[in-house]
Amino acid sequence: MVERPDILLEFDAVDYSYPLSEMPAIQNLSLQLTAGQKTALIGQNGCGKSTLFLLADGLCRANRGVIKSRGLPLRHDRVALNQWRQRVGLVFQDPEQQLVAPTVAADVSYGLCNLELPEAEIAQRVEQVLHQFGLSELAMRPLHQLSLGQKKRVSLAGVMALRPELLLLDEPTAYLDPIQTRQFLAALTQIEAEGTTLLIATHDLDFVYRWADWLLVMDQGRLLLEGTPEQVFSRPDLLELGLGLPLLKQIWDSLPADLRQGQSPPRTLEQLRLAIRP
Amino acid sequence: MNALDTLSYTNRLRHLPPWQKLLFGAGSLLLALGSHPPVQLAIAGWLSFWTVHYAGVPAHLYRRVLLGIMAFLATSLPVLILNLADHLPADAVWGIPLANWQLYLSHRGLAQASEIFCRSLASTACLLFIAFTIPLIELSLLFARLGCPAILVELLLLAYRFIFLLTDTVQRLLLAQTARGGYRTRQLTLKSASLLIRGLLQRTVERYQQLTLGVRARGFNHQFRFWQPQLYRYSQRHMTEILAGWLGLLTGELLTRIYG
Repeated sequence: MVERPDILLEFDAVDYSYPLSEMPAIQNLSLQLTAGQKTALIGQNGCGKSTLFLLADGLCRANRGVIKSRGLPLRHDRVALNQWRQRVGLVFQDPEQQLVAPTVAADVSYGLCNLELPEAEIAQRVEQVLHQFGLSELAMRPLHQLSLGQKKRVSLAGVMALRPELLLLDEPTAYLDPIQTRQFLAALTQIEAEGTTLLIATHDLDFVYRWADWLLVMDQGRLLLEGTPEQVFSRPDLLELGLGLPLLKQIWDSLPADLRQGQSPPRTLEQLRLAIRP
Repeated sequence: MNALDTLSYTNRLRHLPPWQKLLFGAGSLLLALGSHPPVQLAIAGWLSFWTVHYAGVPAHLYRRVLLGIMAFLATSLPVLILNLADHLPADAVWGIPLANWQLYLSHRGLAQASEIFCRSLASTACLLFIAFTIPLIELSLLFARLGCPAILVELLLLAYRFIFLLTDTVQRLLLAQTARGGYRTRQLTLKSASLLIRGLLQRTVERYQQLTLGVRARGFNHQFRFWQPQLYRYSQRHMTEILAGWLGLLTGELLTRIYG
């Protein structure tokens, strides 16, 4: 097999079952994530999305198969794991799951302190990340005084302080209101512009449709299909997987055929407006 | 708890270095422990003035907390004031016969009780000043700098974080139960409370497991270490006031000892 350094994450025939569970959570899963490609992972609850993330971050150990980053296999010794987690960052769905320190600044510094970086560098990186995510004003605030949206941003900042090249986000906009969602997505756009590759697990098909370059569809621990959003959402069997279609795609499909002829389906509202303009 | 925590972050003395506030609170506490009631009352008044006037802690809230603590302490005073003996002693102020016994108030008992009351009042005012103006995190980091074992500081910080997670979980469960009439009758209250405790235990274990994954994902290496920016401004004016106040109190104590 040819090693490709632009493959940031690779699963090769990976199997995983939780201890004492009869059902495998991940079955014979193979996938590749290319650097710079915005990838979304979709599927019903319990299809294995979160388990895939735990495996990708070395928090669970595959029963079979190999997980690699830039051609290097994931090893489960402490030093190798620390190096791996510096490259592959994971943001959990519930921010409470990963916020450990008493204040915002202290929490952002946590991963950096674990790397035993010099204090001056920790200070510089914390200040930079707090500024980047609009958290400077909240630096000394205790975490329990923050809103959910702010907690989400702190958890993202804490991971981004490590400067990972691949960021895994589990349901990043779950429970957020529209303003908080907008703020969070703006932060993601900034991260992406700075060169970090994103893999997002979500149920928000409208978001996936306009944002992703590549889609992975999982079902019962298996990778069922993958492709561009246009390819995936053109599949007739999607409804059987309980996934449905994005609103824009539904509107597009309901338009008269002559209006759609010769045009690729729009991925944003603006593109739709342009496509149907007389 | 939440109000106290919030105020410790938002009070008007927030910019002062924690060591300056701790020095003031702890120094005044030492003075209160070794002085006479008039000086102790002066300390209580002075520290309360700092907490309410300088730190901006709402007076009604401060009064409520202080009175709550003092009421708790006052419950122990009757034991000191009231005495029981087979005859009325010479220093009795007041007494009533109870069968063959005499229940009485003595001069000595009253003096002892007022001394304890004044000392408690002054000590409480000192501790409340520390609690209202220094966030627990900064206090524990200060203890670490003063040589307190790292493991104790880590435990304190984690306990602090978990207290709020736990209160949050309790509130959610309580709300869910109340919304479905869980506390309508005494019997239902008992049943719901037992379910709450069970649910709390279960959720705490779940939370522990989730948090373990969370800290591992962030490179946990068997030690909780954090970095905090230092954004304090030492105030010479406040320091001068503290020193002048202490000097005044020491003079007062000296005069009490000479003439009192």
